[in-house]
Amino acid sequence: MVPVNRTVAVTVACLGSPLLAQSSAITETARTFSFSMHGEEVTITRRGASCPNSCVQPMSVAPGVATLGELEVIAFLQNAVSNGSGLLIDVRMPTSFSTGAVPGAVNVPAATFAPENPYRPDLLSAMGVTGVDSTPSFASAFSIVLYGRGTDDKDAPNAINSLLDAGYPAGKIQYYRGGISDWTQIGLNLSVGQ
Amino acid sequence: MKHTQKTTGLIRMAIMGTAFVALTVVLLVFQPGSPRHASGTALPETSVTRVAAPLESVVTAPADVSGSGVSFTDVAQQPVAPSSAAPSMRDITFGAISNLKSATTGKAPAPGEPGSLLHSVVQRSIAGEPTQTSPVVQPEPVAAKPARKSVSDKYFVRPGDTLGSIAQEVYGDAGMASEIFLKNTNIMSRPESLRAGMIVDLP
Repeated sequence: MVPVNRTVAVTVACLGSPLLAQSSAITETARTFSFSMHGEEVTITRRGASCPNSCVQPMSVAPGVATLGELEVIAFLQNAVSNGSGLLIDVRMPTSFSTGAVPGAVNVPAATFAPENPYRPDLLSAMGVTGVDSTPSFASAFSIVLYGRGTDDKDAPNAINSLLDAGYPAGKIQYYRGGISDWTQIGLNLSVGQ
Repeated sequence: MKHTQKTTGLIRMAIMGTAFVALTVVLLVFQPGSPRHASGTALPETSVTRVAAPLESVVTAPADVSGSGVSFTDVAQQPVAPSSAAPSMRDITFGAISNLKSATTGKAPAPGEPGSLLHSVVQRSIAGEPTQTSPVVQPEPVAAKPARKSVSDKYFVRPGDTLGSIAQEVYGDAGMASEIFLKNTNIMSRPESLRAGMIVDLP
């Protein structure tokens, strides 16, 4: 029986080694969080995806920008998107978007909102902003909901901050923090190649 | 009895060893979630499990969506990015604008319409901004024909003229195009409605 036990031990060690990888960063500044409870030190760590590619995002992006859950996103689609006053924006790159997105979403990659993009005025114009070259008016701008990969995708918050810097009113921007990750995790359907 | 135990142990060991090798080979060959499976650009992507998992539910998605009042049939196709290099910011932006126009108006902007790349380039060249497609304007013709302005405060538009070219010819400054347009809003609703044969007032 000795060889069998040894084999089992070696196999388990080989297959299990990836599970023992070191913990990954939670945010840009923190790899772990600790707190004490009843005098005992408790630590929160993270496995798998790590910062800076996948930093866990706060619930609130900026003052005045509401954060939505799935039912609120669906209500937004039924109301604002249906009557033509709202846009659900997927900020992932087109290759990711084409593999599946929230039904009704429009693909506008986060990088296009950046102030370095020389074509951003054209983009804002397409979003209903008038007078983009001189004095922008956001009166007829669409109310928008932005989402990215998920709770650990910084692209959507970055896009929201870029829009706020461009003067887009915070009251017209909302953030679906769960993103495509939460949407699929709870079994909601995706639309492919829209 | 001891011999039988030993044989059983060896068989188990062999089976486990084979299974392990087979699994390793399968993973090496197929490499699920490897970046080379993703078409197009090598952009930072989410981990494999997150993208791959929802694909089971994806197959039925279009059928579910069709009855929801949102039409996807006339939405333009994604612009196909060159697979060798990352698409430029210009292509990405105008792809996004096309998506936005499709979503808001039901159709993608035709070339030359507001929202299209052509329209943007034309607007920029009228405004005198350097773009990727318009090289630096040469000031030479101005010195050759400086008298036009003094002769008349009107300009007869010839075929091929644009507000930019007129401003360049008359004032030596393409940036005056917007001034010319503002002076002639009574006959032109938009800068691009300039036609040969029109007589524009010069500011």
